Amino acid sequence: MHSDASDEQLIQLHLSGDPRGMEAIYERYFDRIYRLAYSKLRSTQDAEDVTSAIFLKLCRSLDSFRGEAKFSTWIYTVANNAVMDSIRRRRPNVSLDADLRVDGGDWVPREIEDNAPGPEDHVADADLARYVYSKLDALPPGQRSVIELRYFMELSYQQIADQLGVELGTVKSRLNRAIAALRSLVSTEEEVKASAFR
Amino acid sequence: MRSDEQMEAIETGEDSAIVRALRTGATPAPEFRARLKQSFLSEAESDARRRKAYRLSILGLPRFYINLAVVGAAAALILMAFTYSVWFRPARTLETAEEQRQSVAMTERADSEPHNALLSPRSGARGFAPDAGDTADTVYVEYSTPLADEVQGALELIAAEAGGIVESAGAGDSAGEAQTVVLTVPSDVLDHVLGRLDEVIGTAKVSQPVHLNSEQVTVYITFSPD
Repeated sequence: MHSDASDEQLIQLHLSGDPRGMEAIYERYFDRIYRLAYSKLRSTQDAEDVTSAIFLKLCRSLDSFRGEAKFSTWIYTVANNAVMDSIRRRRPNVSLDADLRVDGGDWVPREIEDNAPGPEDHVADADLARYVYSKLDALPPGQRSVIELRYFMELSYQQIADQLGVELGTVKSRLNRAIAALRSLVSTEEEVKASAFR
Repeated sequence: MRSDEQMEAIETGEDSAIVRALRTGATPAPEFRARLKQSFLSEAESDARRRKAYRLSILGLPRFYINLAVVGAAAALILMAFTYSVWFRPARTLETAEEQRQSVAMTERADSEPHNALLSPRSGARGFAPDAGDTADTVYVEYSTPLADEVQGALELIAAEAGGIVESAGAGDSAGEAQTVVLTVPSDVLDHVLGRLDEVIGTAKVSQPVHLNSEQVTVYITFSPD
């Protein structure tokens, strides 16, 4: 019913007291927000928690949406802040370089838990996706932002340029370099895996 | 700058698997989607109701208080319309030196007159509340004939009929001077008394009484032969 309406029209519908505007917003943004959260948290449970928090606070947060920016860029900022808050809360407050003292008084090196799938898991598409997501952290922040806005939030190149305050050409070149970097990372892992089995 | 076609080729060419992985790699569980949707829509409905209620009110105040304020303002206006003469009394105008002299002379003359005549039409007194001395209505009746004995008797008869008293002001005993008789009667029979005077003594010049809702009225009857 409201599939053709713009985000801003749907928001106005809700602000005028009609809750159907928010139903369309949910259908439009649920997957995008979840993908963004998962790409940073890489935990289904954490991504679900953050996505729930974002949507359940969305209605009341609308008072801070003044219509100066597109709704898609506003909700990206809101979601990004929520995800970063979640990361800060769950991050242990110890240095990763520090070793641990065990009961016997001996110091042992910390083992960093890595939930990311290894190269051997790349067979299926789902595994490839998880693997690609795990490599996003290796990208420079500028390139990662372009990836998030383009493939998670589904913005156009021009909207990305407006959101980041850069030229349209900059957006395209960053996206190109980001995808090339991801391809390179995946290929390198594949070669490592192949050489290990020789 | 890369054209859109070039970008499309990158996304659909050799890197299409990576792009597809990014676009579809993280799929939320359908149960989670349905559960959150239910909670979200419930929250949205409640928020929409709140916003609608707010929009219907003014400045976020409940309707009840706005109606109360409107009714209060209307009542205040009505009250002021009925009592404007109390709140907005005419200001005293500035008097010239000549007017001040006349005013002093008038006060002196009023002081020399009987005390209960201060609010007579000639006194010039103004104001909302009566003074302590302004307790009686006063009527002046003037005859251009002398006070004859039969007239004196008729006055006593009229006073007796009305339940009042008659007394002489004590001036003008000699012939040719004006004589004044003071008749004090209840206010509610004043019209009857004036009618009887007209009937028994004759037509006279009668001043308008000053109404103060007093129980007694004082009638000054002056006989001044030409």
